[in-house]
Amino acid sequence: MNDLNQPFDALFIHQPRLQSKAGRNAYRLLTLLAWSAYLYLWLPIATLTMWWLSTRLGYSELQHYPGFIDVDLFLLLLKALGIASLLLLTWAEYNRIRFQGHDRRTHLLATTPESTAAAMGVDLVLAGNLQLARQITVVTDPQAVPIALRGGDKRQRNLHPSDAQRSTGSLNTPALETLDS
Amino acid sequence: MTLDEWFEMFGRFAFYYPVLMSFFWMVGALYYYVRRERGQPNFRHPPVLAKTPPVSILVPCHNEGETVDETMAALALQQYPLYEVIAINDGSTDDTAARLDALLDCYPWLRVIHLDRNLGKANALRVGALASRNEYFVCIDGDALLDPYAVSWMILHLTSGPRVGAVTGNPRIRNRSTLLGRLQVGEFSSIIGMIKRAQRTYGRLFTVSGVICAFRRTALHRVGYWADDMVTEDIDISWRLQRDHWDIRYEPNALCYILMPETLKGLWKQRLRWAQGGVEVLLRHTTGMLHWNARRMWGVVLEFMFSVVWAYVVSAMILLWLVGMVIPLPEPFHISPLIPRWNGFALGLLCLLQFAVSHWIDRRYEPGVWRNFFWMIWYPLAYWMINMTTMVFAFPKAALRRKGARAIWESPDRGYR
Repeated sequence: MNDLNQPFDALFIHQPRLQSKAGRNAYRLLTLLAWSAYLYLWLPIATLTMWWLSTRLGYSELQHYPGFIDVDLFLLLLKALGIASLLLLTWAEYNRIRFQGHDRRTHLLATTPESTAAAMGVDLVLAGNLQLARQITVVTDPQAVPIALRGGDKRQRNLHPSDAQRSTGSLNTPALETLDS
Repeated sequence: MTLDEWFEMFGRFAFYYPVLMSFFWMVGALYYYVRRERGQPNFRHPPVLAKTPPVSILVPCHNEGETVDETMAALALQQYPLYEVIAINDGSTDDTAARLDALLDCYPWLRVIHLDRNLGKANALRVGALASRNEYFVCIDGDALLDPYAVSWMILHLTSGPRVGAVTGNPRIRNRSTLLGRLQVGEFSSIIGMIKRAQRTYGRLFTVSGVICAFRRTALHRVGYWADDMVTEDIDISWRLQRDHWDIRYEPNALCYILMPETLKGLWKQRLRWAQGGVEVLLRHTTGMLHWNARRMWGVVLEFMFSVVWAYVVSAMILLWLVGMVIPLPEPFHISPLIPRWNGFALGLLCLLQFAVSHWIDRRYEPGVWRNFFWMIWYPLAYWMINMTTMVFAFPKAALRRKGARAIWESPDRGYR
């Protein structure tokens, strides 16, 4: 396994000073304005709260504005929340009960790299060489199909543990060979 | 229906669509959390894998000279026993090629493939798949830092059953120096993470995250690998896999730290490309989705269609509202107020609730995310407004784009560093 302590640059980049001071202040102001607009949305409930806190005022104001509280809207929203929850959770539970632990899909044989090459219209020998290369340039035709390889690392491809397993023949793949440039 | 009734209906749709979607996301995300995350080990302690098949990590690179060293250094820390990294240099014009060649001496598991010209990410991935002899691929961007345990978490799903065709991970934003950076931090954790969980609860995903995903070769083979004429090959491959009845999983423990644009221009370009890609995929796959055997994708397709309609409806309402402030407009074209009284309060409350739910679920992956609270106001606003604006421009762009034209790279904005 690899060493977790190997350092590299900070994961999170928090460098507000990279932006100009005018820019930073402009965005702060913009955000404050956005908060003001957001708080404006709460005016109805704030008004209602203040009326309720002053009971006599609240009673007389509500008499003046009988339609002030849009009860229908909130009832509709509650119904919408209820319906959305019921639909989604019923569907999710139905699928969980119906499919959990069961796999109805036919097991497919794993696709071979050769099949991939054939599907992409690439010459099998070229594809085989590409799979062995550690560093290579791929030349393509106008349809972006690889048609040739250029350059390449003359060294034998470095063995990753999975390749070491293959080179002993345990995974039934072609033996490694040195790539000629 | 009279004109008044149409406007009334559109007005209700403009309000209730985001409200309803927020409900679905919150409920779905909470269900996912309770079923799959609560009580589970920390992301640094994946379960012991019964099988550890060899994996190829495909890293398509285009002009990643500034970041490729970090990316490879992060890959060196992978806590997975059998893997190789195939970096595909896709016609870079900076020093990416030289840097990758130099890294060959540092990392024995690294392989480098240079393409003769800029062929786009999809073709880079295709060549990467061609160059690999493994059944499982993990695909990351050339400027992404993969968490040491991400491969383990994703392979856990791919080896759990033959139906699993792909897994998408959990991208976290690295750059948070500016408002736009912090906005996206919250957007990704509060909204996108929530959406992915809710979609998994439903059973189908709109897309894998192209920056961190894993695939089974057999699944890719059946659907013809990545299409090089789609600007978002990740959305396209996700829809094709799911139409072929492969399961795509979401694994929030598979973390990846990414750089996102921190300029308005960069953000606009990126989100426009995402919106355009979504529309292209919708236009290409809609006919195929009409079949009964594609019924499980109908929820995803309908949701996206509604989002396109919503973008145009709200844009029209905002435009009429703005015009109405200057020129008197006849009813029902006169929109005032833009957000009616209690509807506004309901939206405000929902925004707060959504943030609270998403933060509660997401805190295990980034405990300090609450520090962005001051910027929280932007998250839902940015998500909906950015989506709306980009969709208005993206739909005609996608519809008019020349069919079959190859989607190639443009060097992205990677923020302040």
